[in-house]
Amino acid sequence: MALKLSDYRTQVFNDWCPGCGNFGILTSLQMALVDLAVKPSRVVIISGIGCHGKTPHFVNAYGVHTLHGRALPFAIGIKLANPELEVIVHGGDGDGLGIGAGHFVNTGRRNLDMTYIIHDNGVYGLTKGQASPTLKLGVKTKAMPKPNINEGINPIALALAAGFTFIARSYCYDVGHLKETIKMAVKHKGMALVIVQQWCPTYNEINTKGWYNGEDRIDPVTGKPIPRLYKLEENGYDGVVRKPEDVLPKTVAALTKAFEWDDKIPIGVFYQNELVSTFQERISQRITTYPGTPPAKEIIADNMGEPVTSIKKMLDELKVTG
Amino acid sequence: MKKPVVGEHNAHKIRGDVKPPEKLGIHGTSVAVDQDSCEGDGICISVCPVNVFNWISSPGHATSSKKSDPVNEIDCIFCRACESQCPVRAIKITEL
Repeated sequence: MALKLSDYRTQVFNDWCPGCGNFGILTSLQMALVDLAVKPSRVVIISGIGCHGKTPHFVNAYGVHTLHGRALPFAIGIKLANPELEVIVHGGDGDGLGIGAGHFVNTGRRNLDMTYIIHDNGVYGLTKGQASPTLKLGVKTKAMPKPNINEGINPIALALAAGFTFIARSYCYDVGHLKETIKMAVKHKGMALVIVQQWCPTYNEINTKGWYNGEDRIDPVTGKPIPRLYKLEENGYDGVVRKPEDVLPKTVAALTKAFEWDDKIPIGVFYQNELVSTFQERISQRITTYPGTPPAKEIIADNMGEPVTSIKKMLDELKVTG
Repeated sequence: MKKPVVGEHNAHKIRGDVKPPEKLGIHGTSVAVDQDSCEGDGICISVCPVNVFNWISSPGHATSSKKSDPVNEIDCIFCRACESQCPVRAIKITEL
C-alpha cells in the first residue's frame, strides 16, 4: 500500500512556537520519506538537544532524542549495527556546531551512509536566544545585550574540510526545494549534510522571513522585494564530482559559494562526491562477514534464551592457580 | 468540522450557515477560516510562509468587505502562525 503523509505523523503535541521554521523542516522530511517510499519501520530519526531535538517525537518512526551535541555518535552506532536502516540525524546550529563540532568533523571523515540535517537559525532558541556558533560577528539579536563578539562559523566550508561527500543548503519554508534536497541527501551514497536556513520567530528578529525574502530592499524598477536566497541549480552551478580530477576544482567552487552571504545566499547542492568509499565498504574489506551479518542480525541466544557465546574460556585463563 | 458541508469553492469546502452576503460560513477544512468573524485584518496573509491565504471580496458583510480565503489549503505545513496571530481568532488549524 502506498504511504501517506499521515503515516509519518504522531499524536504528540507540538510545542514549537507558532511560525517556527522547524515546522517546514518536519513537513519536508515527512514528504521526502513518502516520496522515497521508505517504510517508517526502516527509518531512524536521531536528534540532539535544542528545539530541533523534538523532531523524533513528531515523526512516526524509530527515534532517539540523545545528548547535547552527541547525536552523531549515536547515529554511527545505529547505522553500523544495522546498515539496512535509513538513519537521519537532526542537529541544531548550537548542538551540531558548538558542543558537537568535534563529532561533526569526525563524522565527515568517516563517510558513513547517513544524512545529517542541521537546523540553522543563528540562536539558541531553547535557552532564550543566546548567540549560536553560526551567528555572524557584530549581529545583535533581541536577547543579547551587545552585538556578537565572535565570528560565525561557516558550516559549509567546515563540512568541505571535514570530508562530507554531499553538502547542500536549503531553506525551511521553501518546502518543495527542501524536500528535494533531503531526498537527494538520503539517496546519496555517503555522509550527506543539509544545512537548513531557518528563522526563529521568537528570538532572531534579524534573519526573519522578511529578511530572507529581501523585503528591506525594494527593486526601484519593479517595486518588488529582491530575495536574498537564490538557487544554485538555476544559475548553472554544478557541484557533482564525476571523475577524480574534478575534486579540487569543485571543492574550490563550493568554497567560493560557501562564503556568499548577506546580499546573495545560495541554496542547493554545493558539492557531491560519490567516488569516496563509505565506512561500510571499508569495514567490509576488513571483516568479510559484516555485510551479511551486521551486529543487529547476529544470533546472540539459543532457543532457551541462553547466550550462544561463552566467556568461560577467557575466565579460565584468568584463574589464579597455585 | 462537525458542521455539514454546504458547498465548495477555490478548492476548499464551506461549512455552516451560508446566506451571502450576510452569512459566509467557515471556509476550509484543515485550515478553517470563520469568515463571519474575519475582520479582514490580513495578518494571516502576511505571516503565512507558504501563501495559503488570499483576499476575497465580501461586499455587504457586516464585519468587513474583504475576507481571507484559504485558497492553497493543501500547502499548509501546520506552523500555526496564522492561528496565533489572528486578532479575532477566526482560524482553526487541524492536522488531518
